[in-house]
Parts: sequence; structure tokens; C-alpha cells
Amino acid sequence: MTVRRRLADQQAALLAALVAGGPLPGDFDPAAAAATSEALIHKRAAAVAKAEPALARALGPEFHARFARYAASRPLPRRGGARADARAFAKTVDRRGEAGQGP
Amino acid sequence: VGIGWRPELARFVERRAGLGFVEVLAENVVPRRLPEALVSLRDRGVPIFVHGVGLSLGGAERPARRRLSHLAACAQVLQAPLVSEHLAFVRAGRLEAGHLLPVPRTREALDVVCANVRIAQDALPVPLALENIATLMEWPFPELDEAAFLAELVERTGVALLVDVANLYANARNHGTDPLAQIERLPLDHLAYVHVAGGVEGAGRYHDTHCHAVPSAVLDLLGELCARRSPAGVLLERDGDFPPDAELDAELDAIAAVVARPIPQGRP
Repeated sequence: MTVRRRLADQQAALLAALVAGGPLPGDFDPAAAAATSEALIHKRAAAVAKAEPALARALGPEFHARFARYAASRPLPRRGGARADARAFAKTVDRRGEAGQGP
Repeated sequence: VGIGWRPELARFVERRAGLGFVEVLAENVVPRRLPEALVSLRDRGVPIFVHGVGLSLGGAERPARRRLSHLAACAQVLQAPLVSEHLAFVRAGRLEAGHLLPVPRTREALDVVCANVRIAQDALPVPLALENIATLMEWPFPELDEAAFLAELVERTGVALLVDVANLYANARNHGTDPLAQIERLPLDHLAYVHVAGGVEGAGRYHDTHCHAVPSAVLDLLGELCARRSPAGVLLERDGDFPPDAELDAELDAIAAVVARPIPQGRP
């Protein structure tokens, strides 16, 4: 196995654990990994709120919790960045008929 | 002393007298459609550094030609004296992290990063600088510490260093490293410039948010660094919760004061 291949496997396994609900590879600190996952979701939420402020406003104080629930099972889209993330999140909100209902 | 240019800070940057340089996020720049504010800075001769976050130089894959071309185009149109990126990976397999993640500090990974850095250097029209990142987690069984990893990277590739003192502080808080010992062993002969940013404590960890005030401990570290090597520039990064101009002025003035008189003050 080449060095690049081995590094690719290690990084893919860690990233899957951090953003896609995969198992955390052995010997990582689970608490530190959980904090990292949370920070990644927080970063995504901030980017989505900036890209689509109306969506964040419509959900008000619920926004962060709702986004965290969505993001826990949905990694960042490979293309389109925060806008694509915001669209995908908005669809899950629409499906549940939750958008714009207010507090 | 400079500040990271953001659209929200365009007016502040325009107003702030004596700003030595700015830095733009490459991922937010369309080279053929520069904001007028940036064109105006460029044409007035204010140096604009290009800072990337998406190249994944610490990733297992070779840096993408498309991303390197974009960085090169940004550097050209902004007449940037250098491009900076991070010692980090941001994607792996078919997943995007959306943020900077640490590279395992093994000799094997070091070989890959060196190769990636050389590919990037060959593709860029200006020198490349690499930045140390803040992390909440570490890879198990490191073979080198961060300073040794960066030192060898610099020695083998000639890449310049962008030292983020807030990231050194964050890692010291979160992983128990000694930030002074790290500074002592960084190859400061290759220091290009320095980042300073704010953060916040939460749940027993320090979060490098770029959305809070700069802690005095970070300014102390800046003083320690400047006492050892006078940097060409020190840049404040602010990415959100933008404060009133007076607060940013005060932070930039505090940074300038440390740079001018770097012996750390108020230490026991």
C-alpha cells in the first residue's frame, strides 16, 4: 500500500467518524472528536445563516438545534458550499412543514 | 499591522489610517469580478495577501490543479506578494469537512505534505506560506511535535511560515502543549507574517472563533514571538460578530503596540 493510499484511508475514516456518523478509529480521544464534530457543525450553521439569513430568521432560536439535527446525518454537500448546504437543510425543514410557522 | 479583508469590514479598512496590509480569502474572490474596494486598495499600493482554506495541502490527494490555478489567478490580479494556506486537510474520501483538520504528525504524512507543498509552489507565481492550525483533537501516536513537523517541512521545501499565535494558544490550552517551547523551536528565519485572532472558552475548551475579542494571553504570545523575530506583518482575523469600529481600532492599536515594544508586559 502506498503512503498516499494509507494516509487517504486514515483521513477518510476519521472524517467519516466526524461528519458522517462512522465509527471513530481506535486510539482517538472520543471527547475531543465529539468536540470537533460539534465545532464543524457550528461552522456549517454559521455559514448557512450567513448565506441564507432569511432561513435562519424564520427558524429563530430553533435554527441551531434544527440545523444540528439535520447536519448530524447529512455531511456538507461536496459542491456548492454553504448555499448548497442551506438548500438541502431548507428541504428537510419544508418537508416537515416547519418553515415560517414562527415560534 | 493589517486586518483580514471581509466585505463587512470594507468600510472599516477604507477608514483605518496606516493599515500596512490586508489579506483576502481566496475562496471568496472571483478574479474577474473584484470588489471595487479591493481594486482601490490594490491601486493605492496596499499589499494584499491571498489566503486559502480549501487546498487541503495536508490531505492524501495531490492539490487540485483547479484550486491552484484559482490561487495563482487571485495572486496575479491582486498583485499579491505571497499566497498562504494551512497545514491541514479539509476533505478525504468523498467527504468535505468544511473546516481545517489536523494532519497526523508522522514521518510518512510529512513526506506527503512535502510533496503537496512542492506541487503548490511550482504552480504559484509567488512564494507560499504555511500556517499552523488550531485543533480540538489530535491524532494518536505523533512521531513529531508541531514545531518539529513545521521545521522539517520548511527545511525540505523552503516554504515560508505563517505563524498564528492564537492557534498556538488554542492548542496549548486544549492539548497542554507549551506555546513558548513551540515558538522557540519554530524556524522563525522563514517567518513571513503572523495571524492574531480572538476566541472563547466553552465546555472546558478554547475555541478559536475569530468572532470574539483577542485574549490578552494571545497578545502576550505575540510579544514573545516578536521579541525573538520581528515579523514583516501581523494581521488580525475577524470573521463574524463584527464589533464597532472603535473596538477593532483598539485591537489593532494593541497589536501595533506589542509589535513596537515586544517584551511581554505584566508577566509575574
